[in-house]
Amino acid sequence: MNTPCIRLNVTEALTDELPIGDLALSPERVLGKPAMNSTLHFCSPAHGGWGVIRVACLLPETHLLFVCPEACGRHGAIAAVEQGYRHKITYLCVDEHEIVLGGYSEEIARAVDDLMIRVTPSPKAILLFLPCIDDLLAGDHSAIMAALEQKHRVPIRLTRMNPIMTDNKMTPMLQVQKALYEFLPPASSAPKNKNIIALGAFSPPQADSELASLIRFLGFDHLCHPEFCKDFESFTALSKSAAALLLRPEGVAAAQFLNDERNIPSLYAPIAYDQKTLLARYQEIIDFLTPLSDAGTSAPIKAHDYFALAVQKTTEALHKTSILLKGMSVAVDQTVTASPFSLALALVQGGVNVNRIYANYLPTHEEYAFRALSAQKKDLIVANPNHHKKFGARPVSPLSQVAIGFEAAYATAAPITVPLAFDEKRYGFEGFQMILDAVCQAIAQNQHSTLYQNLREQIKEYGLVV
Amino acid sequence: MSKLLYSLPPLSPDYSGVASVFHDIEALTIIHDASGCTGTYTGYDEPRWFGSQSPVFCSGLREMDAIMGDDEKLYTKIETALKSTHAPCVAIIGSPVPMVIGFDFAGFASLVETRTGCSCLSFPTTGLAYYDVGQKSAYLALAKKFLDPSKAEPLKNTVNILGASVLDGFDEKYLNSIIAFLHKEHLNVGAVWGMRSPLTTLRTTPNAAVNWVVTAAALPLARYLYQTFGTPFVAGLPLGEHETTRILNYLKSACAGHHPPEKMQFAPPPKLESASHGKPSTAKTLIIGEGLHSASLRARLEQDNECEPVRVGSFFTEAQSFLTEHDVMFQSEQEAYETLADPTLEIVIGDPLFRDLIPRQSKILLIDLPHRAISGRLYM
Repeated sequence: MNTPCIRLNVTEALTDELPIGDLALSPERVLGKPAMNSTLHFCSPAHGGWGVIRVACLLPETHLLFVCPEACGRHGAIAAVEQGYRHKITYLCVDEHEIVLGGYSEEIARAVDDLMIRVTPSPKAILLFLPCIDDLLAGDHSAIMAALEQKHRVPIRLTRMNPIMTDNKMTPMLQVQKALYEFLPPASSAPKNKNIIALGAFSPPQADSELASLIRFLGFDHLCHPEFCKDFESFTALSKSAAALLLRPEGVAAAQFLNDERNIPSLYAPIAYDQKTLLARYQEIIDFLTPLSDAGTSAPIKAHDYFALAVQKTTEALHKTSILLKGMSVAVDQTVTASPFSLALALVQGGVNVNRIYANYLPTHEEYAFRALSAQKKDLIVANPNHHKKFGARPVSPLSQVAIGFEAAYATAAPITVPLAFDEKRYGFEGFQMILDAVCQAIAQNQHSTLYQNLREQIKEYGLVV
Repeated sequence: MSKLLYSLPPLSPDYSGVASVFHDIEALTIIHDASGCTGTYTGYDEPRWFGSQSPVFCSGLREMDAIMGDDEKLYTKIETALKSTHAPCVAIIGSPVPMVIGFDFAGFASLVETRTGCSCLSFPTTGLAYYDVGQKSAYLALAKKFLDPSKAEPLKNTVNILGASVLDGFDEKYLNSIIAFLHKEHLNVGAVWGMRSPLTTLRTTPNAAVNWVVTAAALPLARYLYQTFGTPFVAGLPLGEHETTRILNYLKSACAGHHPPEKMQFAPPPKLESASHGKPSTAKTLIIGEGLHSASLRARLEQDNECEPVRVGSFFTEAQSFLTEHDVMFQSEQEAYETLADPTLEIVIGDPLFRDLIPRQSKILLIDLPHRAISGRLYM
């Protein structure tokens, strides 16, 4: 007897949100390219991030030349004024004739000549930004860049702000992080130093952080990042680094470049929050760095032992937070961390009632946490904040009582917002404790955003860039 | 020709202007782009976006869609969204990528309208022009699409407000004060173009006795309404005694069924015009801003305060109708920088970001007049 064949209409199967228990077999119904490509995109007032320009502006003594139709530069420029780095950017606004006739390569030359005179002090390097339309016009600016480098004796690199390539392997954020490290001179035969680059992180863990301490324990010196470089020369000295740790996926292309072109090996160790993944991550870091160190440790280090105290402190902090929350529902999102499923899993395992996760894709490094959550908290709703059904959807009755992240705060209308974003300065057990501290602080302050005004101000103060 | 910006941000683009006009109409508004253009509008140019119920979306344009010209994919998304938004009409708005690939906006709008039965307007905006150009085209397109001369039922004492644009500083409070101003004179308000009025109210536009233009971008709409429905119009803002009297007299006269003299339609000629006998001249005070607002502010300063001649400058195309040969249209930041380097200039009234264009040694006093189309969300 033939079994009746039930054919699922793919388009109808894709939707804006589902309980994670129902989503377990096919996460793509809400998360990832098919779901995103099936719908118009809602761009909530809490949508945004660091932005490629802010990332590029981390490079000291470097000037950005943004070549674009005028409109493409507006959001980045206003954000730059808000955050105090507008003077690091020049906009070359091209017109229709130059776009149609392809003449803007010459305009780039004119602009570089001009800015090298007008910008004081004279930049030590120039980063050229090109927009979506350049991909379609297949512009090749290598010859003009080489000529300009020779003329002005400054390195010039190219990157793109081209969200039209968001579905491709080289997204704008991947490209800009790679472009920064392309300024590093080629590896020389000189011995490496004992520094480790923190890749991918927008704002890295600080010098006294748990991760930096581990690195020192393993016989290395500093955790390095463009944020810590006082001038362009000290940034280029990163080429002598012993290795790199990739803490967020946005640095994947940079890591590949460092490995292939600058002889700097790297380890993908994306941020995590649940204990099992965290200990595994740290063990991977230890196993990766130990052979590179000449400290000569007598016995293999076990993350489980090294972080025993950190685990205990985190467990205590989680217990305290759970009591303080008194069963309140909590939402998390993909703006607060690159690993929202791991964060949710860690909270759920500590007894916190996480009821919603806002995310639009499921990265590979989150698959374990996703599966674990789908088994342990089947009713947890996974929602895509960009789906068209989310428009105008700020509910009168909050969907969660506490929101960790701005996107979740807007979508749920949670009365309490924990204003954290993009794993800034966070990693490891310490990073999780920083989140728990922020949750406790937000509850203590009882920041009511039901009138929208608080959240609006928090978003503005943070300066999300689309 | 390309231009360089060292200090100012790129100014509010044409697609923001179009989208802002459609916001309160609650049209299904789609900016055909990858994400940045929609984000510019929603995040920087649209103060109503927080808590908004308006269905404004990004089409989510990707490289392969652009290369393959997969319009059916966009159509399917629109059709699906229409089912959940129940929008009264659709607006499809362009950005730089559709310009480069030659997207057929008119054809696509026709397809959407035919297949869905829902009215659809399209705007081949490119991100190369400014917001006022977009607003002008949106106002005219709406009027041509939805206003029916045969259904006009003229109502005395009713005034339409044309051009209440959030990009020019209008918000609920400001608009309420304008409406209160009319009510105080026993005048009723019909449709408000630019904010607040839904499509059903905009359709009543031909019924008004007179149109009041409050921003320069709405002037072409007023001219169209005059040509099509014979509705007279006055342009200006009630800043100071002279301008208030001029505007009120015009509105009252038109509401009474008279034909007010044409010279009352606009602010009086600036002092420079009469003082210089047609030759270019300078002034110690310069207003840089939205054209109509600047013209009314100049009238107030020159007539009520008996100031020295005042000059107006603007970056925005539609301001030209309110500028004279003594005023200045800036084509670039460099031109504004050169104008502000004029040693005879003493006072500049304009957006706080212009402070960065004033030479360091200059003693110019900048009086802040934030303009959202310039500085976005910075000072609002």
